[in-house]
Amino acid sequence: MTDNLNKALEKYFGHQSFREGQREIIEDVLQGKDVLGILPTGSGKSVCYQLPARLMSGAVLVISPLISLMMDQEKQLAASGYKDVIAFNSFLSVQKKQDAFRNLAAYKLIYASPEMLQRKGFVKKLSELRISLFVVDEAHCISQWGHEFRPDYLKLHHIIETLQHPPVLALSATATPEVQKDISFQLRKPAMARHIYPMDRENITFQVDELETPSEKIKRISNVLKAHPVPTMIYFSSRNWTEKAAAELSAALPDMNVAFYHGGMEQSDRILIQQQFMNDQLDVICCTSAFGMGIDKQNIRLVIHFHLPPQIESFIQEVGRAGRDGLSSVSLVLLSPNDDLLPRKLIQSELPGREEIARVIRYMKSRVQQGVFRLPEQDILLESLQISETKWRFLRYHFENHGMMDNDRIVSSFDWETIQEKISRVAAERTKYKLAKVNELLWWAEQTECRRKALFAPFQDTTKEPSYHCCDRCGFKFSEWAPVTKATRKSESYNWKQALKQIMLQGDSDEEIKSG
Amino acid sequence: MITIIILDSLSKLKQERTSAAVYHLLVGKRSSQTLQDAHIYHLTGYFGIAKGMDKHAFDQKVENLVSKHYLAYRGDKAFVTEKGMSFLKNNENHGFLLHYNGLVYDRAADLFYERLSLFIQTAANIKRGNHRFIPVSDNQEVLLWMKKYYTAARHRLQELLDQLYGEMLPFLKRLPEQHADIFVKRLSGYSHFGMSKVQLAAFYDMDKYDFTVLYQLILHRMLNYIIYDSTPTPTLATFSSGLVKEVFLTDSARKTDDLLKQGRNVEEICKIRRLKESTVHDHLIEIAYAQPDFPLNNYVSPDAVREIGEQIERLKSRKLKQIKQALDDRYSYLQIRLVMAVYRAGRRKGVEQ
Ligand SMILES: Nc1ncnc2c1ncn2[C@@H]1O[C@H](COP(=O)(O)OP(=O)(O)O)[C@@H](O)[C@H]1O
Ligand SMILES: [Mg+2]
Ligand SMILES: [Zn+2]
Repeated sequence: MTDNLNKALEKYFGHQSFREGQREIIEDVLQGKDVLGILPTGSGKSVCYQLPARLMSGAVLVISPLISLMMDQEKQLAASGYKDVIAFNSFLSVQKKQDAFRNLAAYKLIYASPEMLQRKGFVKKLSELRISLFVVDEAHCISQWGHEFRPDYLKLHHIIETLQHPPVLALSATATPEVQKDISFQLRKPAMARHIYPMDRENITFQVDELETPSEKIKRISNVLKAHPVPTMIYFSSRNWTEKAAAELSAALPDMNVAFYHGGMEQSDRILIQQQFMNDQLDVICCTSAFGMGIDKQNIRLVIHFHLPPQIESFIQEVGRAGRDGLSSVSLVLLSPNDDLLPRKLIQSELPGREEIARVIRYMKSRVQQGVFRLPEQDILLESLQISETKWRFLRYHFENHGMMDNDRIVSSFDWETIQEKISRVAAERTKYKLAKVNELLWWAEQTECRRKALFAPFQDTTKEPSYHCCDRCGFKFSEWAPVTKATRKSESYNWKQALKQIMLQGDSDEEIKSG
Repeated sequence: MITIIILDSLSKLKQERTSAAVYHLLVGKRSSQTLQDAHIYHLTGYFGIAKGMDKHAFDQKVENLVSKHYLAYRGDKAFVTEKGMSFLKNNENHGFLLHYNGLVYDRAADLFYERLSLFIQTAANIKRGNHRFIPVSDNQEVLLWMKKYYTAARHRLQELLDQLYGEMLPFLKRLPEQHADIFVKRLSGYSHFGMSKVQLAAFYDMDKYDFTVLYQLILHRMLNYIIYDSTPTPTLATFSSGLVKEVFLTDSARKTDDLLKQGRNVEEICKIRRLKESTVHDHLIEIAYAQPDFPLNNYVSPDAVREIGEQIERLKSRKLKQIKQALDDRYSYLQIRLVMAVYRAGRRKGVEQ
């Protein structure tokens, strides 16, 4: 069995051996157990269900909240020759969706966003198939205490029941013990086999620098990069900042290739920039959190946080993109006064306030009074309510929870005041909780004890022995850092004729090009 | 580049429209007002060449032109000053403006490029033995097309690359060096990803929208080259096929078109519709722009088409009077305008032979 698994891994994925945790999880999955797997980002969680998909009869259903990640994986699998993979999400064209619906039985691996599972037709189709494994990726989304709570995830146990209890595999990169318990409770699977692996990586060194202004941060970055020209990601919390910083760093670092990436860019440009970075054509990428999901670049040596993300879990994930190859890498956090204002504003914009809740309830009430129970299309609804999609998702979940709504229909009239009061209280609590998460990370940055120990303490009892340097609190200095570097080269002269020949595989590209 | 496009547009609008009309044109607003403006004022070329530009950025450019005294206001309408006209005429990019073919190539230009660049990337990688690469396009429509194309092409990838190279090279040589650089720098190949538009704009120190319209210019010229230049381009043409569609007609022109299709001639149509001859001529022009199968030879002989076409190309001008004189007044304005229309509408090669 063991041998066969290794052979299958090699045959289907080209990997020589399993990484930590993979074999243990896969063996339990193949035995039909319900499994909870906590493995750090980049450790290869996908293999834990993609390999079983090749080995089990029937189809593997994967619920994933990250549409872009899903598409990346589908793309990668398609690139390596798998035709029997499909990802259902809002980006799939209607035509393709219909075709796929009709041929659903032909797929071995079916990715679906949680929203897709709201559609009764889709679930019915699924229940006609033999689902041999039900995978919940990014399973921390199921918990109120997870950093990316997705109300849609709370209904998964109904789906599992409808599908007649296939074995369940829940996967996450970051989950505190509290969240782990919640995952198993929300899925109604109290007896999951648990495979929990520590998240700290021995090759990453931590440092926090306090500076006065944003321009000092830029100066600091360019000094670090001048001394250590390594593949680098720099995280920002706003699109504008990625562009501004990329321009300033390009000017300050003429020998390095610097670019920015954010969700507002043209799609074709996004692909080019992402792939240039993967392909070592770029040294430094200034990005928002939109970059990096599904990014698997081995030699990122330095992850800088120009702004901190709104919670520790995201920070650990982002830092975890450094040093996938196991070589010495650094996480550098740059702090300046008032850095907490932006995430605070963001959080307040994510959850509905009292006013907004009252407005939505008034709207629903007036519809019921007019005898109209169906809500308009989401776009139109959001437009007329002047409310963001995130806020609406929150509200809809709670309306449904209170039995006020079912599938875009208002069920009947209610004690509106009480419900308004209840939902307002929940929203206020969530806001408070999220603000506390922001503080947690700031608090971490100000600690005087070892950064590594303090960062991972909420998730695990011990941390591994660092293989290079530990952190600035334990005496690390940038001047002592000697990373392996492989900087890209900037080409000085450019000749399009030469370049075109090369791209289009026209003979020897070095040969003299005849003029004409 | 975009500033002279704005100037050219406003000068052609002759203060009959506000600058907002130019904005709608550039971003490709599909309203009948914008489409009619495009036809009436001969601005179809600029339709949709600056998609995604926000109104604020546009207004700033207009204000900038005003502060340079290239534009001035009469009431709420901007007009091009003498200084502005001379700036426009003497601008090094002025000669390029006639290559734009926005209304016809709207959407097609980008889809054509995505097909072409995806194929080049795919062929180069497969030829080099790399079957695992991330495609430069994730547009479903393009990927679907590529799947079909690839199935038929996979045994002659090198041959197709050679042919594409052979067809692209003469075109790129015609372009200014910088434009050819830009085109090639954006291409991806084996283990090499091209530069993004944003990177290219920064590299050449260009304003974002200047680059946007310049980039469209290159693509439009390439499509013009494929569709009506005399150089044979059978391989490139497979990448544009099916993309270049019919253009909208105004209602009045459509009525004229119906009558033409019933076999009526211009004189009869004038009588039936109680229109002036010049109006029906305008309709003919509009139809010629819009329909690839417009029977040009009913109005201009094949030899004349060639002669007029050469003269337009040589003069790099759209000034009718100048062209007419250069042809010794042997052809009417209608004939010249029709050739121009068909020429710029991207008539398929060979139709006029
Ligand atoms: N056993 C293995 N040996 C080598 N590489 C592996 C192995 N398992 C997974 N990988 C690679 O690790 C990368 C990250 O895998 P992924 O499943 O996306 O990680 P995660 O979901 O845990 O963040 C992928 O490129 C995958 O091919
Ligand atoms: Mg994953
Ligand atoms: Zn330490």
